[in-house]
Amino acid sequence: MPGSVDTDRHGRHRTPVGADPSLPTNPGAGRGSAARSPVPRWVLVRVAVGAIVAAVLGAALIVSMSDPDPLDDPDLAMQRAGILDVVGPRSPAVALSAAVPARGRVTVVFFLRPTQAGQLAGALESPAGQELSELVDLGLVVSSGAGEVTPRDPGTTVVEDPDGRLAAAYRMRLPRDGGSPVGYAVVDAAGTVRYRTLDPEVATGLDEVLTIVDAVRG
Amino acid sequence: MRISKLGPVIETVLVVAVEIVLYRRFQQGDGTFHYFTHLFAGGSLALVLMAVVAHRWRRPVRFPLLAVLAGHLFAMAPDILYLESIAHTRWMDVFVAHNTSHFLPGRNISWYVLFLAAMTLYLVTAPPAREATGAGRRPTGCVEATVGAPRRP
Repeated sequence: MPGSVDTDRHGRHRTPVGADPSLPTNPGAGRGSAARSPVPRWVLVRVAVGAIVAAVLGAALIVSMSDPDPLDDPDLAMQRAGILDVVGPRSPAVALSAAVPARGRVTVVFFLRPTQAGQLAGALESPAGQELSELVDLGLVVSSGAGEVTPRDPGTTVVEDPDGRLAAAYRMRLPRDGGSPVGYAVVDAAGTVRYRTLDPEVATGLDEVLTIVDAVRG
Repeated sequence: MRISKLGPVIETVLVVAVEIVLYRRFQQGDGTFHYFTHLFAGGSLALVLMAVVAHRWRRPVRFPLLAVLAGHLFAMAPDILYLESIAHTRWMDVFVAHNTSHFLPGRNISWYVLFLAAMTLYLVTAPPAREATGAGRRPTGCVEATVGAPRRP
């Protein structure tokens, strides 16, 4: 090969022009080993796969957290946990009226703002709402405008809680916007609060309330 | 294209499709927070088990994405019961700490980091497929001997 090892006209080896005579000659060097990456291909593939998975899942996680509902719990682990006695301690339920909560009956106390109160009053007329009305006593705690909330079932207790004292007594958590909570608490037959959660979509989620009621009824 | 080459493609499409369906289902129920918790928790468990299996048998897991999907489905199993009106109870923590996993300090960010750590563990632990089967290997000494041989004058 020209340029690597050469001979003079007498057949003796001579060093190519510009080459360092102290270095050993290696005709293969600079062709095979230098062209090949020092990192095996499978390592590069795995690094790429790991980076792609990390980027995709990280982006999806960030997007899911980027547009929170102002009525959501600031700590979403505390919202709709689906298990009794986890969010907040067991505590005695405060009376909404002389009859609610009644001993021997499970009670669901909804905490609402005026907008959600109207929606819930309508939802209580749905099959799930009617089933709920038959199974438990219902209480509606509205932050304002309680007089405008007229559930069809006359047994439903509606009270106004403008300063949030009732919500605090039930140890309801504050939503992200710091205003009145929108959610519900479930009181067992012994008068103990067994479940509490914020739930901005409670009017469309009465099936879930029934699931918790079933758990409290045992 | 051979079936063996199509396998990873089919696996990827299948797993991504199922995960999208699951995500949409949780999103409709306003539960994306729960989706990510169980994805990362179940996926982390699957990846750690995969690392153990790969280390023990000296070869990568054949269907790694399906294994992660299985871990996710196992972790979220109580949520399927929840849709059937069965509330969560404490024993359901056998499903990759289904209840208590939500309360990990740092919440889903911490689970994300743990998931990445588990994925790294598996990717580092599992030997490359070619090395595991021995196919395509050649003694490196032969290469070096050829490259380094002095040219005949």
